Amino acid sequence: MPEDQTTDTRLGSAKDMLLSPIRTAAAIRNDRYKSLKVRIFFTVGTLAGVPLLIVTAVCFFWLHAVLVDDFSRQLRWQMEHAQEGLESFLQDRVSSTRYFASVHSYGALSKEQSLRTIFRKSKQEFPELIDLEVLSSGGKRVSYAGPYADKSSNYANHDWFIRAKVHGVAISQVFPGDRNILHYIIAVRQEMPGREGFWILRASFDVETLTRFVAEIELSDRDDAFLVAGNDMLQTTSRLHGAALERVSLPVLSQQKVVSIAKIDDEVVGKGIFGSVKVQGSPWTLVAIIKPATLARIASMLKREILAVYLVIVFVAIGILMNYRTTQRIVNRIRETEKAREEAIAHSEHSAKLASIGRLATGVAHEINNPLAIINEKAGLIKDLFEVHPESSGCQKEFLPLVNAISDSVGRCRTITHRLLGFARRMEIDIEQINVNEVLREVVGFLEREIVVRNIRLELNLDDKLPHIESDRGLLQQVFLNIANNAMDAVKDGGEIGLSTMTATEGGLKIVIRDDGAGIRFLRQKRREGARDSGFPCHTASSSDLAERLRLTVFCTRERRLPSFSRSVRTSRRTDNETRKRASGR
Amino acid sequence: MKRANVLLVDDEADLAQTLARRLNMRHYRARSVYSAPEALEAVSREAPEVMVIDLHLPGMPGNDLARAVRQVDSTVAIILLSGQGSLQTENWIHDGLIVDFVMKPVEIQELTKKIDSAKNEHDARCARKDGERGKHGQA
Repeated sequence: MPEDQTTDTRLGSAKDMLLSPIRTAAAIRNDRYKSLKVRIFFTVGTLAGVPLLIVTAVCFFWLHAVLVDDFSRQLRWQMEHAQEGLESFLQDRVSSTRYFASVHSYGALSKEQSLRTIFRKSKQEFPELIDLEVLSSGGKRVSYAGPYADKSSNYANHDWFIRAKVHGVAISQVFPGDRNILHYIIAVRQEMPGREGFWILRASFDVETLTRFVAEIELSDRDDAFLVAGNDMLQTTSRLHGAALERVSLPVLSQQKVVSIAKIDDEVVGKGIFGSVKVQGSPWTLVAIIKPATLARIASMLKREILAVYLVIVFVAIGILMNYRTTQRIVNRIRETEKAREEAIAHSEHSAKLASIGRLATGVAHEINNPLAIINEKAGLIKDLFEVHPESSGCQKEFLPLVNAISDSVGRCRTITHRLLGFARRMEIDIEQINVNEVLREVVGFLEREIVVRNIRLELNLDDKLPHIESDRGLLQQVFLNIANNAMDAVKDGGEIGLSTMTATEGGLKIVIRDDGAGIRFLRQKRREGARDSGFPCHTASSSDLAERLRLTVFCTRERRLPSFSRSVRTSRRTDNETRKRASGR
Repeated sequence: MKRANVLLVDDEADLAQTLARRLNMRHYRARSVYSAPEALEAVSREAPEVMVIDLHLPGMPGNDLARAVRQVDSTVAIILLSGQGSLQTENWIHDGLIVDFVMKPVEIQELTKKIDSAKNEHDARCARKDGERGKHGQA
């Protein structure tokens, strides 16, 4: 493999090695930005969502409470209405039964003929009446009117009989009895006229009448209302709990005259509002359970509203974000434009300063050149005169060395003024065919005084067959001068600087400026860390712009054969147009 | 070889006179003038073979004077006296406006060498011109 390629490969790997921490840092920064984006996204989402959820929850509970209260009041009102109706009905039936017992004598009622007559008349008035029966104080049938004449039993131990015997009147629970038909009994006690003892008039009523009263409570298909005896026995059919006489598990029922309302949430009923009220004068408690559909719909209604509000918030947030990003983009563009303008102004000012320096140098050199020329010609004339008229002066031997000294001094001044003029002229862009070796020799000319004074050993190894390139001589000279000055600063007195040129195998020219100085601090640091050759732009800030304009590739590196790093400048040949464009900075 | 008839043009009279004197001491027929109008008048009157013109003449730059001189006498070989060489100077040589340039301060040996070369160029131009005249005469 050619040496150049080896060097380039080495430089490439070294560059990767040096840049890898930078790339790692960049990757870490990217990760941080990503993490920051995610955090900002979720923070903004949370900030937007949490208040919304709080408001929604408050709304939900408030609305739920309002609806529950409203439904509770409606339920209470309907239950009170049903309770009043039921109590009134029962009171009416009790009064009617008591009336029959009081207006008719025991003797008349104990005759079944008379009892059947009364039954028929009563049946017309009260269709739900099933039968009438007169019982002795021992609970045995005395007479009977109704469809179940063959069914007879002793009621002495029946609860309703005992209560009627004690309290004078009793209403039984609903039960099927021997007749196997759901009914309830109203029993009234009547004293035997003129002697000790009593008798009881028993009236059986169909339970359907009770069901009608319960049904007066306006309910939806989801709701339920029924009568319960005790705490757990259904007296009418329940939609949720089953048929009458089934045992149910219910919350504690009200034993008060006023309606009690509570929330209910169990496996059978689910969530709902539970109302109960004692039907006075009866063993029954009126129970109603409502499960308003509106309550169930609150959540879904709020879900839709939440979604709608959230979408609005998201759209607003996206709008604000887009507006922010657009504003940021515009501001960034303005900032970049402003920065570019400031850089252009700074560059222009720098160029103007250089041009001013160039003009100043030109003026000074020209002004000095003319008197120098006169001095030179006058001294030359003196020498000419001595040669033409050797006999004209006896002091010729003394004068000639003095005149020669004047001529030598003029020659030195001439060299300086010519360099100044050449340097100044090259401040302006001027593309021409250039022999790089000549440019380097001129650069050395600028430094030769310091080289001599500091006893620096200069090794010039310039390739005579170097092809000419098209470039700006002055700009090239400035770049080389900057790098050579760096080398001069780097080496100690008595050190070594080498300049060599060669044709690069990949095209263009290769100019190597090396020294045996301490090296750049950054390179020394990398060397301590074990890095081998390092390839990175090391030209100074002032030559950076020039190198860019001239399409120079400038590397600092440390070659194995050298005691310290060297600077290599690689140029590539360009087309005329490219060169002019780059050099003119357009 | 007969030394050239030289006309020096420089606004620095002291320099021009000294140079002219030194050239004369070397058997050139040198004369100095100090402005462009004087130079044009001298060209018409004396027909110099070689002119050494300072580039930075007041009123008319040396290259413009050279152009004017060439219009009067196209055989005059002109050497430009300049602070430094440039691409422009190279172009003027390439275009035939001047034959050479010399930088101030000039060494007399270098100047005489260039004057001699310029004299040869002048002679060649004259020969070409005579040849062309001969052709035209025969025609």
